[in-house]
Amino acid sequence: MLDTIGRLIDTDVLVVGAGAGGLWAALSAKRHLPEGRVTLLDAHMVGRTGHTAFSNAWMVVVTPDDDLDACVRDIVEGNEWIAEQELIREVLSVSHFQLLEMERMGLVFPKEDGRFIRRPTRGLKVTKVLKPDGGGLEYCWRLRKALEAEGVDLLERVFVTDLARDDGGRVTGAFGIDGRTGEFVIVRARATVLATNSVTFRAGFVRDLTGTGTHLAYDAGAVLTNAEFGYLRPGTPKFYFEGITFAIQDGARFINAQGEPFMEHYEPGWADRADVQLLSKAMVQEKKEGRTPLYLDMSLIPEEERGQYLQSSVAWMDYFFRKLGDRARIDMFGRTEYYPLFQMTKLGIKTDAACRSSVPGLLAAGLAQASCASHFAGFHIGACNGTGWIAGKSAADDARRLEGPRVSEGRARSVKTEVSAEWRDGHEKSDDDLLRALQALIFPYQVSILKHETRMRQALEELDAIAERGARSRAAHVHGFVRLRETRCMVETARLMLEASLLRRESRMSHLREDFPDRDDETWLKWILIEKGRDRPRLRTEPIATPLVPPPTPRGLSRKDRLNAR
Amino acid sequence: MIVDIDLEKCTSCGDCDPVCPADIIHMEEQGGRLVPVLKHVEHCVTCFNCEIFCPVQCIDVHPIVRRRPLPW
Repeated sequence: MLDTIGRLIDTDVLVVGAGAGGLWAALSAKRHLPEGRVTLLDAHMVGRTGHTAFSNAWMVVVTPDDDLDACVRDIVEGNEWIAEQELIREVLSVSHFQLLEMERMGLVFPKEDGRFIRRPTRGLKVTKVLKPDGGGLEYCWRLRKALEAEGVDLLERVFVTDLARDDGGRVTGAFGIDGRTGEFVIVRARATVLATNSVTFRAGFVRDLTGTGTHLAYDAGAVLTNAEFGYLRPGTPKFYFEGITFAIQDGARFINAQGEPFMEHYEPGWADRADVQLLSKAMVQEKKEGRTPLYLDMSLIPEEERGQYLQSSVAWMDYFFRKLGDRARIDMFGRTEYYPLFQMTKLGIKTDAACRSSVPGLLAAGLAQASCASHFAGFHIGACNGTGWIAGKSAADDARRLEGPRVSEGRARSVKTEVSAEWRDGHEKSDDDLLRALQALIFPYQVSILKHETRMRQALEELDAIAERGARSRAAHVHGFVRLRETRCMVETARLMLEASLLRRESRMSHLREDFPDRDDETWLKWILIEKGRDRPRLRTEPIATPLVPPPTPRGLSRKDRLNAR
Repeated sequence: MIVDIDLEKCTSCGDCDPVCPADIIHMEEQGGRLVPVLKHVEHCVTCFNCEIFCPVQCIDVHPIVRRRPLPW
């Protein structure tokens, strides 16, 4: 009996992860399966924790007045074609409906003369973004209240360790542990949506929060992609600042050690308004040419515009900015040293346009889903909203269509035994040492930002030793166990990142190869797909489908020629 | 990073425990009442949630975290 092995929960749809993707997936599943049971599981508290909760919640929304096709083209071209075109179109198509739903939930999106106030965002030409008052915390809380009102079950403080599968390989739920007591939990589900965060390497502040859903899917046989891409962005280790985009719109500039605004040289059109990966690429070039340190000069922001940076409708940022001067004696309106930081990977689960993975019973949403390789400022949550809604609908359909889920007692016992062996009072605490070794390997720009075959092969060799150490590590308590599992996930992600980066012998967006500096559309309009092999990952390529936005024409043609070629 | 909880002011409401995304505040019994105890403070992500949701402002978070390895 499963209920003698652990706490057993039966549900029709299980959603793992309560960020934007998971919140919308749960709501959508319940709307499309009102008679069914929908469970939203999170490692912490739904509506108060997670990456989305700590964001500004800027989101792309396409209103009826916008040109939907132009926005699809904008995002696909901005992604240099590494994008699931049909899924992007679906995501943008539902965004206005979702905006109106959020207003009904009580979220306030500022308006002027009855129209939503929207702003342009880095790297996109026509697509606009907007955000609710109160940012991510308010957004998540209102969605939580909506889920409670509609009868979605919330299962909090449970960390998923493995997915459950039946004899045919279909995913039939998940195994996990209570994050405080260590109690073993079994969730049996007809359909499971993974909507966890991207994998980060804990780059500081809320970027320390990471997701493990992609690796749960990988272990269950799902195909992953976009491992070679990452979210590179300028950042400072001194403080967490989400407002670079708008600071630059208000006059801030990146300058080098000589005081030169270097972005005008690298991106004459966009300059400092270029997308974050282009900023990061230019910063690395400045480093190579000996013009560091680099600074963000906020002194250029007019006095009358500064108030908005010292007060925020996002509660934690408001506390943060108020304390920077008082407690840390940091003047954010001076010159602050900046670096290109590897914030998170873009590794995600490959799905179809309905968010179904390659494994029956398993769907993906949010940043665990690989809709595209760059999300700009605003398409992170925009994509999470949309993929959440789409995945929830598909999961509801699957829950109706699929037979009752089977979870074997043998498998449940085996997972429980494996988990219990990894944490026990008295084990030596070692997860942080493992993390530090991984960070020391990955964070140098020569490995994760400006890549080269020789350096990546060396990093892979060093990674083997870290992985072996990780496999031997044990935790002293449940907290340490969760951290250890997360760190192991980072180690494996680093492997996938390096292997895929070696295979893609060109440079494209955040994937910058020093030894292959040019974009190669003839060879590389392809996904790199990754599946778990016996000992190592198995990588292969697949052409990218271009049903809506045709592939780019060869370099050298003018924009007019390219437009005529369409 | 969280630096101080004023237990004199704390009302033992427990609101700070579940809102911590890093699982570092645990309500535990001390001296006959539940109080917030810092368990793994080195993992604080400086999100300010505990300070924001404390109804009696007895928690203090400092805005700076320990440095991570930099790209150069």
